[in-house]
Parts: sequence; structure tokens; C-alpha cells
Amino acid sequence: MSLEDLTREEEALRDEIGDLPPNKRKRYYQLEKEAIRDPDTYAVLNYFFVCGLHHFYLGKTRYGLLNVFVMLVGLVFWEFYGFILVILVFAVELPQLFRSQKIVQQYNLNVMRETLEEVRGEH
Amino acid sequence: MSIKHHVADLWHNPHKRNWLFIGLGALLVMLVVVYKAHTRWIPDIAEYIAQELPREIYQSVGDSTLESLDDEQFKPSTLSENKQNEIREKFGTMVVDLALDSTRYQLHFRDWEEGINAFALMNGAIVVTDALVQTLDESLQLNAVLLHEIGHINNNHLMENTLRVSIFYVTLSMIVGDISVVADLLVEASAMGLNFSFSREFELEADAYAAKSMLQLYNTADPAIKAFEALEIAHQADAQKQAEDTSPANPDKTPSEVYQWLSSHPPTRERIEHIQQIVEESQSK
Ligand SMILES: [Zn+2]
Repeated sequence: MSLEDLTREEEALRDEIGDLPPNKRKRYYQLEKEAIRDPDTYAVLNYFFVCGLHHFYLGKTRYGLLNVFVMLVGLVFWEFYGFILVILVFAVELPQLFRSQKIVQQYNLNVMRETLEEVRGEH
Repeated sequence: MSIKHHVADLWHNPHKRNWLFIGLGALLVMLVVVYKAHTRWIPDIAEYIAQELPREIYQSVGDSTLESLDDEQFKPSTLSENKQNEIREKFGTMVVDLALDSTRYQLHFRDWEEGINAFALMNGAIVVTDALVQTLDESLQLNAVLLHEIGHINNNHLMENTLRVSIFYVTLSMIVGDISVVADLLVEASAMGLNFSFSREFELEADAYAAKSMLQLYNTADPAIKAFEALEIAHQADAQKQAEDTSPANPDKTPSEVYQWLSSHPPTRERIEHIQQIVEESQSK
């Protein structure tokens, strides 16, 4: 999906949120504020240490732990070809930096959808 | 909220838990990176650069160090010409016997008010103080000290140490972004003994060189151990005298661009044990 598609989808969701009754709309915005993520923070966490911190930010704890673990093993055994692991982590993780806008927007859309469902189901 | 509640909140609130993982992950990786930089990367880079630098740089840095030491601290030696020539001759024979390039090292004698010491400079100059020569009247013991200094020169220790400190300084200022902060940090770090861990490694390496060369030349490293013991006794007597002295304490005036034989680290006993270990290893072969 392109960035325009994502934006269009977000606009559609925003319309649906606008149609909520006032008390539910207020409740929705409360939940959204907590759950939404910032693409710039994601990008900074990605390139600052390149060791999976950005995965933690989006709640992908297991993937983040794996990433940190591989990075640490690579660093500790640097002189025994550990540097290959570090390069590998860089090669896998750094490209996400350039897609961070899209990744985070996709994440936020899911969050919005789930929150909307949740608020609608509430009494 | 109590601390217990805070901790519970940190774990159960998904957003805060994410940041907990981010913080811990960053800390862990940063610690390992700093440790690796200190123990491997900076030493490796320093060693590489030290090898690549042209001889002229070593020469000019060493020359100017000796000049400033002559201006500020050293006085001409009071040893007789005969004594100086005798030691020089033995030193020259030793260098030739070890198949070393004899043009690389020059022996200098100086009178130094701080007493017993030997220094290696970047240009291959080895300075021994009169008090050192007088303490080690046995020539093989003096040779052991001179071999230790040759070890420093052959292994580029001075240049490597200088480069390590510089790389550390530059890297830190790039991270912190403010030189004055780095300067403060450096003062604190050196007070905490960051430098001494560098010099400890180099001292033991120079000791190893001396011990192996002694074994090769004279089939024994005992004079090296004897020299350590004699210097330690003389050093303690010196310290005692200074403690009794009522005049204000003398701060350490030795510049950092020289290696001293008698630094307080590593302890003499550790150095002796290290040499004994090398002797045992060579015998078991
Ligand atoms: Zn030394």
C-alpha cells in the first residue's frame, strides 16, 4: 500500500470516528492518544543504536529482544567474526528507517481500527 | 503512588513497558560498545596508526620531549665519563647481540632530583638517572631495566598510548559535542585510573620483552627480578624520606609523554610473578 492509500484510509476512519456519539468520541480520543505512535521517534530509535529499539516502540517485544540479543552477541564476539552479525543487523534494520513513515502509519491505522471497534462495543 | 505501584504500572501499562525495554536495551548495548571500544577497537586503531606513522614524527616528538625535560627537570649527569662509556659499551653489545638496529636507540645519562628512574622516549632515546645507575651496580640488572625500555620503544608503546588517549578524546567530544565537558571528563577519568589500565598492559608487555631477551642473552631472568627488588627497596626508602620531609609535598611532575620504570602500577610483586611465569613457560618448551 502506498502512503496515499494509507492517508485515504485514515480519512475514512476519521469520518467514522466523527460519526460517533459525543461520549464515545471522547472515550475514543482518550484511548487513541495512549496508543498512537510517532514516526519520527520510531526513526530515531532505529538509527540511534540500530539494535531493535524501534521494535520495542511498536510493542514488538520479542522481535526487539531477538534483535538486541543478536547485536550483543555480535559485539561481544566482534573479533571472532561477530562483526558479521552486526553488519547483518544493520542490513536488515536500517532500510526500515526509510520506510518508517509508512510502517508507523500502518501501525496507527490498525490501532485506530481496533480502538474504534472497542469503543463501539462498549456500553 | 508507592514505588511498588510505579513498578507495577511500568510493567502493566504497555506504553511504559515499551519504553522500559527501550531504556534497558539502549543501556546494555551502550555498555558493551564502550567496553569493546576501550579494550579492542581503540587499541587496535592506535596500533595501526602507530605503525603507519613515519619515523620522522617519532623522531621530532621524542627530540622535543627530551629538550623540554632537559630544560625543566634534568641536570647533566654527575657520573664519570668512564662509567658512562662502560655502560654505553655494554648496552651497545647487548643491542648487537639481540640483532637490533643499533642506530635506533641512544642512551642518555641525567641527574634528576626525583631520584631513581628510567625513561623511554619516542625517538628511541633511553634516559637513565644517576640514582638508577648507582642503585643497580650490577651491570646485568641495569641491562634488564634497559631491555624493558627497549621493549617500550620496539612496541611503539608511547605513540600508541598517546593515540589511544587522543582517539578517546576525539570520540568523546563528537558524542558530547562540547570540548570543555570532555576536558572535565578526562580529568575525572584519569583521576579514576583510566590511564593506568593502559600503562599496566604496556608495562607487563615491556617486562615480558625484557625477560625473554634476558633468557636469550644470558640464559637467566634473575637479574631482572633482582633489579625489581632493589628498586622497590630504594623506592620505599625514598618515599619514607619524603614522608619525613616537612616541606610541602612534591606533586608528580613527570610528564605523560614518557614511560617511567618505577610507576606505582602495576605492583612490583605482580611484575616479578609475571616474569617468573615467562621463565617457567620458556623452560617447559
Ligand atoms: Zn616501563
